Amino acid sequence: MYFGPSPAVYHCHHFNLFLDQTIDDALGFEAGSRLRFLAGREFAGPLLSGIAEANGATTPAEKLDLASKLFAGMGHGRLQVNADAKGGDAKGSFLHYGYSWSQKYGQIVKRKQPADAFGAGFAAAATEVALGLTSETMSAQESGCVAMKAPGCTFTLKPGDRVAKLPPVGEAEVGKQVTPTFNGLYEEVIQPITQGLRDFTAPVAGDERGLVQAFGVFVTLHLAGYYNRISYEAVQQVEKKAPQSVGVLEDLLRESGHVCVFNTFGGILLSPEWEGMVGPLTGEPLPIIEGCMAIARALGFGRWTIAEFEPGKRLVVRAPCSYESVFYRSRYGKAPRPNEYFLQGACLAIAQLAHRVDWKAKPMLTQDFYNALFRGGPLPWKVEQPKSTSCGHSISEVVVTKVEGARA
Amino acid sequence: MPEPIPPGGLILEGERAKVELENSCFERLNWRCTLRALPAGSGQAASLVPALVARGYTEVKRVPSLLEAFHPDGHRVAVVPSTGRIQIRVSMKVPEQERAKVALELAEELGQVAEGAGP
Repeated sequence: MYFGPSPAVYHCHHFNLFLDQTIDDALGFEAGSRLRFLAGREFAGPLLSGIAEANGATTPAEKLDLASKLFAGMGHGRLQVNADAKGGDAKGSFLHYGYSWSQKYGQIVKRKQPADAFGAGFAAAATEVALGLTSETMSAQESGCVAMKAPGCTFTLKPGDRVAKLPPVGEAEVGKQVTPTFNGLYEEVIQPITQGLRDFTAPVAGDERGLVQAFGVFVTLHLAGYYNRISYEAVQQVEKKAPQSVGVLEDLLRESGHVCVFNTFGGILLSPEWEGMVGPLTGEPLPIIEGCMAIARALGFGRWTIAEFEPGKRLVVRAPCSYESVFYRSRYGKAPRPNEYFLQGACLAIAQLAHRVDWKAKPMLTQDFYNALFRGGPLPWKVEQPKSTSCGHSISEVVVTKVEGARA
Repeated sequence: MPEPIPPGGLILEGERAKVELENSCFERLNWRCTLRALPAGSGQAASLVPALVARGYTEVKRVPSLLEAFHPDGHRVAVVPSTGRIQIRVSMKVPEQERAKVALELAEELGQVAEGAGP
């Protein structure tokens, strides 16, 4: 899925907060937030340039105004940049990361660091694009954040933060990696639901706060490059500095898939929107699996298809590629091993949701329920990825099988 | 600080309606509404929306399978015509400890509309 010239996907605040925290846990806050800022700045730049050009915005004021509207329209909150070539500041309200963090954790955790590195990167890129500055040169530091109980989010912008350019990953590069599409099982069910979800999400835009509240989550239209760069660079940095910890980080990146499927997919399945479009949930595993394939497609994750499904035993998902693999191939070339962590974790979580959730009881998707499903001991499923387009295979394939002796 | 949500969920009973806590991004925003005058599955829930519009709500049409009416204060009422499910979505501007009360008040208003009692 593209937003303007940029590969983009929808993700919720639970996933966004979990992934950012994973990066900070792996690298430490300073290096983690720096990486998140760089990724935000890198991938916001081409988006802002492309959208400005498409909308005929030419003056700095027009471009900054457009950037502010774009940010809010994507569900990231309200961000106002006031800067020239010498720097300046930006003010944010209801910023997706800081605001949702404060709402989710603010009463139980005291946060000492700001949460909006993506917003900082976006503000820096907006300044560069508006003023015609060299891309990836403006710095932005968040000095106050609502996640730290500040009344609003504030950023200081300064020039002179040039970094080495990395190979671009835009529409042209990704287009070269996209392989021919194909169908799987139950397409007659999956495709109409996908279309229905796309019809529903197409007109969705930020509310007066610049937030998108839907399906029981705060949704963002986000830059796939942001997620991919922070994930893969974190893995690379940990491989160099603490190779013994790579497995833990990879597990956490897979868990981001659990978090997404539980909260966003689950929220969609339980929503009145779903009930109106598909009908009440029956409690059978297959409709959940079918529905999850449709949701993944509608959110821009790729054309996930069901290759095999044996209830209680095995689920095989195939895709022509994923938003992870097209990025990896574009930026780094062939991967030494399958590394579509999100896809792997999401498919395992789909199996878990299909078999272990009593949908007819209309459960609340609470943290306690998540912990019971995904952290309450060994999972009854194991996930393997025998094929990955990251590695040069013609398709990506994830196999989820019941663990011997486990209750499915 | 509101009381923690009990494991069994939250149900509030009113004169004309019952509200039951549903899944939402943050606590106590979404409530399943059952109207005593409009049993679930009766197929009459869709008629609520034009009646709400007459009372100052705004109908927002996004997809035909779901009807939505927006309250002037930012609350939303979603109706699934095919099943009669009604969900009240309390505005996030309402403090968490007041959301249940507001949901029940809205549900009572819906009950009044369903009975044709008028304001």
